[in-house]
Amino acid sequence: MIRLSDIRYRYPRTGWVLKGIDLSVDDGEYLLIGGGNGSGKSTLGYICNGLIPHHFGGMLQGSVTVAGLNTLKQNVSDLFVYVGLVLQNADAQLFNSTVEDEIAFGLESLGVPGPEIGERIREISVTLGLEDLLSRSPVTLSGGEKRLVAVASVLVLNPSVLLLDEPYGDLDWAASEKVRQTLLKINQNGKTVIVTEQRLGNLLEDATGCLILDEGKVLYQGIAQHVHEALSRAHLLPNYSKRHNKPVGKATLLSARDLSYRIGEKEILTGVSFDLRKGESVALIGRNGSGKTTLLKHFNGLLKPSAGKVTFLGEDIRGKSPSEMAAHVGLSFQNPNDQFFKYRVKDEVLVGPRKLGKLPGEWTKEMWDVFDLHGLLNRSPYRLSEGEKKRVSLASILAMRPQLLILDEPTSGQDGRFREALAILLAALDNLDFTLLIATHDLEFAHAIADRWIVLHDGRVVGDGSPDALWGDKRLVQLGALPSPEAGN
Amino acid sequence: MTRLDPRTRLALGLMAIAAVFVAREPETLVVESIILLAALPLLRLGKEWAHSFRYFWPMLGLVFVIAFFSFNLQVALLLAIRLFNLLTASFVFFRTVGPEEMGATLNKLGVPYSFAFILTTAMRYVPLIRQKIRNIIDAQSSRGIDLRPRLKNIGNFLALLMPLLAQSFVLSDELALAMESRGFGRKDRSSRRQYDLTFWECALMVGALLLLVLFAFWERR
Amino acid sequence: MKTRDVARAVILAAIAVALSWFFIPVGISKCYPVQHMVNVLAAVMLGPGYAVIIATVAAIIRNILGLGTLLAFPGGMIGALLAGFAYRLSKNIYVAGLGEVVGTGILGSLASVWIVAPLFMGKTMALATLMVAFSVSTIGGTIIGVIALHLLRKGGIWEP
Ligand SMILES: Nc1ncnc2c1ncn2[C@@H]1O[C@H](COP(=O)(O)OP(=O)(O)OP(=O)(O)O)[C@@H](O)[C@H]1O
Ligand SMILES: Nc1ncnc2c1ncn2[C@@H]1O[C@H](COP(=O)(O)OP(=O)(O)OP(=O)(O)O)[C@@H](O)[C@H]1O
Ligand SMILES: [Mg+2]
Ligand SMILES: [Mg+2]
Repeated sequence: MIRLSDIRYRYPRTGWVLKGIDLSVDDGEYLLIGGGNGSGKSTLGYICNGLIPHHFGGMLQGSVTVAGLNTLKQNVSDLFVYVGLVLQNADAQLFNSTVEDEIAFGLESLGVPGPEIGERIREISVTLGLEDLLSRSPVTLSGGEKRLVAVASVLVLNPSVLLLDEPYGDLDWAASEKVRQTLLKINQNGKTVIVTEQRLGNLLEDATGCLILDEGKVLYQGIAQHVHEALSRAHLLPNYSKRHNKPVGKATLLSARDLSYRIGEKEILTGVSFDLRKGESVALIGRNGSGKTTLLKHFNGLLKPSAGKVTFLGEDIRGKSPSEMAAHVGLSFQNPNDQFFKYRVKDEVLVGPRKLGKLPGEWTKEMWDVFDLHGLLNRSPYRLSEGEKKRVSLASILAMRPQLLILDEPTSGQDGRFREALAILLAALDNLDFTLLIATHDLEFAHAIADRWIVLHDGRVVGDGSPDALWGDKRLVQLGALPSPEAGN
Repeated sequence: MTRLDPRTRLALGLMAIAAVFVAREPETLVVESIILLAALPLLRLGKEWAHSFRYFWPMLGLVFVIAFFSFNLQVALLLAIRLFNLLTASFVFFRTVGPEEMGATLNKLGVPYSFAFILTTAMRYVPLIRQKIRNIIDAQSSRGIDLRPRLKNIGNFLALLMPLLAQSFVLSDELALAMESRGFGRKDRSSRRQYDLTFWECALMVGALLLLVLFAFWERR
Repeated sequence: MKTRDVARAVILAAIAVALSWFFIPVGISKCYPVQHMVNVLAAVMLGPGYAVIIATVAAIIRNILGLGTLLAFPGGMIGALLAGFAYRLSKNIYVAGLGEVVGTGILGSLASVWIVAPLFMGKTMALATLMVAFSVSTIGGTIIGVIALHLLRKGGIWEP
């Protein structure tokens, strides 16, 4: 069905990104493609549907045949009927105003007559359970719904191969499970499915084959069952070290009292209360939309609670602006690209301290070491890899030396190597006596970096205690706030 | 209203705006204002209209003041009313024709498909870009960079603009991939929406056009 | 590559609309720089045709969302066209900026004034006042657009 032999590829102005890949995928297979950031997973996907070389240019060596067609001799607009590609970024994938238009787009491109389009939309939305979403606009959909619609928009064209680039992206365990079951069903109905993913976990059970890439080369190729060892040798499965519970002081750094937050009629947070003590490492756990980000924004004055209050070192922070709080509470958001505006990493990191009038001193030098930034200082932050960007953005917050460091989803989109390195980094900060609060739905990571979990569900705190006590708690599992331990992660 | 072919609505709307545009006599202007103001509640647009006009009053005021000082009160009033009518009429027009319809209609009238595509797709991305802007403002103010619109924050504007533009480039490259992977740019697309002009709609348009021409002559007699 | 240009046009138009609330207070007047900045970016990156399309689309959407008026049309389209041709002929971003200032600040405001009041023609004083009101935004936006192009190049995001 798909045959790649000895593929080498370079983008315009880069070195070789793929360095000799052989791959053959037969009808009805389910292939998982794993590998770290920048290992070439997405690139391989673009090769399969002809975007490489037709859209990207660059230099492609070796031969690619899809359904017996040589992709070099076909246009993308002829190949998309054979290989349906669902992109990594759902916001780019869904570019129409409504779900219905989204599903119709590919059919319209093919010139399918109007009435038949309506028929096919109906069929596919029944199959994937999207009937209620048809008239919604993509901005109003949840992460999981977006993925299903993206799958529908491609599947409706009835391609022989369905290729999904990191479909589980930012999804929590429940939404992932829904997408996973859908893909499994599609595969069982006879369609070839190819999925790229950083975190293979229990997806391996579904797959018939597995390909692991590392820096453009094949690290492992074969049946899925034996892959763990290879992954863990390459640190693509993070080997977290065990935490040494460290005693924490009694002094309270930050406390939330009966905090509620409302947007219009909708109550997003309800009666949230807890204390953070000095030197603690706490993970804030919760599913997509449970209110983690909203809660964090209350701690440095970005949002004001509708009711209740937040105190920092005993002082009510209502009325303080985020810029005033920046010296005390460092809040680092999920997307590092939201903050880069200088063209050198060094200037970027020092923006905050300069605003606060703190001149670069001993701490800055120490920080270049902790974050291993010496080699990057004069590079453009826009041109770094995703992992490096993340490190720079964390450094830019820590440069202001806040007592409390808050991170929102620091592992999203990052590979095992980065997660392992981040866990080590956070342990180092822990030893330097920073207080850490980390929002995440990556439970394994949360286990590795925190002594205490606070579980948020539907805007309420439903659990607060040590990870071992909460993990597998029947009440929380039943509530849907945590996955059941057997399901894996 | 919504049962008409979008082409008819587009044509009628444009003619209505043209009618406001050619009106000059004080009586006609006032009558037009009354008709427009009466139409707002009928179309259930009153609230939105008031909301939008919060931004437009200052401009009306400016035109009034300038005209008052260069001419006299009467001219200033006439100009202000005329501008008011023009803005209200175009407001109603744009509110009753959605972007998809406008795109589809323009496409039927021979405007290239890319234009209609840019129109509807840009509309879809406005909320996403707004969300990105909010995220950037949050991230930057957490680093002590104040981005509220103040004169002293002028230098900080780049801290909003650069992350936005940088991410927009990435987004637009990925959008191009998504479009290409679903056959954008193939010839002979079909359209799911089918519109047919009835005889009565054609007659309606011709009639309206005749009225418009008569009205223009009458205003300029 | 046509698809890529269309995609860029989509996003630039969306930016022009989404940021249209943004202003810098300048004395009693307000500077709304974003449309002019987008005009400069579009003129340099995509050429006059796309620049005009983007300005038109942004104006239509602003009208649909009730964020702008009919005046958004002449206020953006003429400058975009002139800036696009200026860049195509000179390959110089400063000349493109000049095109935007002349196109919007002078021709665009002339056209707007004509829409507002045909009989204003000939009364130079009143006209000049309105033109100044438009130019604050145009000049501010053009400067920002030129700076942004420089920074995008230095950051390695865009190359001419
Ligand atoms: N459009 C492009 N132009 C130039 N280089 C690129 C482009 N896209 C990717 N690259 C480079 O090619 C290499 C492989 O990238 P690719 O996106 O295929 O990795 P990936 O395995 O999908 O990573 P991730 O898990 O982060 O999505 C990286 O070094 C990346 O910097
Ligand atoms: N500005 C807003 N307007 C309306 N609803 C909002 C807004 N911001 C957040 N919400 C809603 O509040 C809820 C909580 O959102 P929040 O982003 O805090 O969740 P989260 O736990 O951080 O999720 P994720 O894991 O996806 O990041 C969601 O249902 C979201 O739709
Ligand atoms: Mg990828
Ligand atoms: Mg969040």
